[in-house]
Amino acid sequence: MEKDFRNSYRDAGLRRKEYKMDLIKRYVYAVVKWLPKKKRNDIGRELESSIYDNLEARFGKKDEYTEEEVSTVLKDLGSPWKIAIGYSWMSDRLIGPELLQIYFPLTAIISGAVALGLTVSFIVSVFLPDMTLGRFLLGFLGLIPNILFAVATVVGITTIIFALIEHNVPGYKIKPQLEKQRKEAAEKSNWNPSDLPSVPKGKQKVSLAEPIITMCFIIIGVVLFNFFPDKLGIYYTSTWGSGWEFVPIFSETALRTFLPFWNVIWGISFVFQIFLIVKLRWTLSLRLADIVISLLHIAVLGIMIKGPELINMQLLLSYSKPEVAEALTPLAEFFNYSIDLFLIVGIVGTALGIIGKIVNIFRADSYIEKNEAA
Amino acid sequence: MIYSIMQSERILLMNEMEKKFENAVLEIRRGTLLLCVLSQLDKPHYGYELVQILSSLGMDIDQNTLYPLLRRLEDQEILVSDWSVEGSRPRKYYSISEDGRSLFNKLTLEWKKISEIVTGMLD
Repeated sequence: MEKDFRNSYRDAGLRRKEYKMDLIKRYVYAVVKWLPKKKRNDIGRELESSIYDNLEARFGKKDEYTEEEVSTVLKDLGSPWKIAIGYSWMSDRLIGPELLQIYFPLTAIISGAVALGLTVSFIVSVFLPDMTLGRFLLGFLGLIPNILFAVATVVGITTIIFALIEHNVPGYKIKPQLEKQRKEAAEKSNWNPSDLPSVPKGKQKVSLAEPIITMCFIIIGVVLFNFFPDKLGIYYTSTWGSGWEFVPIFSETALRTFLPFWNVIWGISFVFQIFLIVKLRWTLSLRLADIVISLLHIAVLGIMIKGPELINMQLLLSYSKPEVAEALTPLAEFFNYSIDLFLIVGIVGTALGIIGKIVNIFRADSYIEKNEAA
Repeated sequence: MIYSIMQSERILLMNEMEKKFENAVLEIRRGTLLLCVLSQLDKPHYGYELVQILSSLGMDIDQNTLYPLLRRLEDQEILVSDWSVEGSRPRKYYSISEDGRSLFNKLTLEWKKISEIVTGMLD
């Protein structure tokens, strides 16, 4: 115990008193994080106040309580999960707070992907040769209702699934995290206040938006490059309304060579984003995984430099309409010559990012993450 | 050998009966908890204080049970609450609402009836 304290003291640069206050704050946070957001502040304040009532009753009225005294009272109160379960009637809703942590981002991701998919497919259809003004207007007017309908369906289905999980339909019983935490604590038989993770703040916190946006882009990348590689290229029109010319410029060999690597990176990144959403805080293991993924990015960028040329100038030069080919040649050449430069910039940028990520690991506020990783 | 196995099974059975007994007692107490809490909330009290009051009257209740119960009663508008900073730190004081009072009065009558009936059966 004493040793634990010294470690945290050194790593966090916390003064002794702050650490004890921090212990209570960490305890309260560990309780309220399971509760509905609106109630957290009020219940947290009440709990904190009653912890001091307990301290006062046990050890007399003091300005400051020792770490052992705080630990004793917290141990008597029981593990935070035990207390949170007392409030679980609050989550006696269609979907409880534990599952909501997954339900919201997941619904947002799927809805976003569906909406994007419909939009992209509409945009692609605009460039198809059989496009007429009538079809364009019809498709355009239908796009929003289509998206709304699809999103409503997605929300409906995910809600039903989550409600089934929440209400433990026989055979679909998935233990909520709370129950798991409580079991783990029971197995360890003595729950220890110093095991409490820190209250996430500043650099540790993860916003939902970032992983969700990343996941949407990954989905778009996977779909475009795996299923519609033949639709990738330059869309060109000399004057609006005169029709679109589609000129493929990506080399098929290059795409075939690189795609497996891209898919691996996309897959790993996607799984990583899921973990980020579930944890909603940067833990040591997540930071390390993030660095490993960055290293993989560098490796793939390296492969792309050494591998076949991504842009196939022949496709452009042999295009059926010479005037189109001629108009596009400068652009394609620019890409062709500068692509290696882009790749090198990408590698350097990612490498700099890795250095930043390593620095973040050693930032003071990550002191408790060590406990989590252990 | 066999005897000792039977013996240990007996102990297990005993433990199980004890558990059942404890659970049954818990259930009876849980049923009466609402009455106990409402009976003490004419004057506003904060959670920890209420635990002490109930305990001094012979009703021991776990803090982890009482605090969520107070919350629920507040949600159901049986109790009203108010943060007060009179003491050394802010505390949440609960007291019975008007609706809560009429509920309490009805429940008290009901409790007396039930208690009479059960006592009559047990005599």
